[in-house]
Amino acid sequence: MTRAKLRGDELIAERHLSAEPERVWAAFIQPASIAAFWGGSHATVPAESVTVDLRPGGEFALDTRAPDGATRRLRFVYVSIAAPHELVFDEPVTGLRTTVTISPADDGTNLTVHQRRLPRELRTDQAADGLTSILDALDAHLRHQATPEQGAP
Amino acid sequence: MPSSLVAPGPDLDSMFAALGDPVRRALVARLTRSDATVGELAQPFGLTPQAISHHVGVLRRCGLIEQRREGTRRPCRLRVDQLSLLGTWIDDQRRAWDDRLDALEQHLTEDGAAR
Repeated sequence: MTRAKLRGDELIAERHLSAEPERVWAAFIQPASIAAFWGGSHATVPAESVTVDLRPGGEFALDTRAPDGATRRLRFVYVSIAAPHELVFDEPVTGLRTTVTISPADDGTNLTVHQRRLPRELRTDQAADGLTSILDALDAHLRHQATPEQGAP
Repeated sequence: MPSSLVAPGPDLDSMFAALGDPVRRALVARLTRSDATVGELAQPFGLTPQAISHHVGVLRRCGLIEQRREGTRRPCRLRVDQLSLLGTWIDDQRRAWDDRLDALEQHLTEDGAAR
């Protein structure tokens, strides 16, 4: 990954796939394919529940069905679409922004998923830096605590 | 992994909202060093105890800090376990996408074989 990481963004996943970029791209924008993989191994996505309005500001949405039958509707809004190499979408409910990057590689495709790891309230650089320093301080604090004080789990 | 593939959940929502305020982030950062009373927090921040109390209330309601009684003192203590949830949440995201990409890989393989 040669592109500089944006501050406040987190590399969530990287994968080499033995399929050409166009097919990987298609998998992300075709309802039947989205239904096939979006739920992972934990949920199923009924094919008829997937709607795709492929344009900036357009929505894609789907139902995930958990093994116990509980169904949740997930909604995402496309931010930018650069076929076949970059797809950016937001989840309005959480304020999460996901960037999927698809690039040609030896005998296939490299795929990366970045997420803006901070919800809306922490979107400014200042807020992101503030949280980072808190988490750094927390790390230091935990390292100095040889034994947890009373009440700590 | 929780079934919420992408949702942080209500606890985290209120925590993120609370941390959206710079004064509250600074209070949390200060409390990572040691416990402190409202009075002790007010001084270096140049805020009134009333203002600090308000922020402490928000942080208490979202579970990030707790206050205990020590005689007449009521020190605030950071709930490290709650703050750690922020890190856990990021890990959950990663697991969800790993799982999803496993399924994508399988889908592409089957799809390719069917051509």
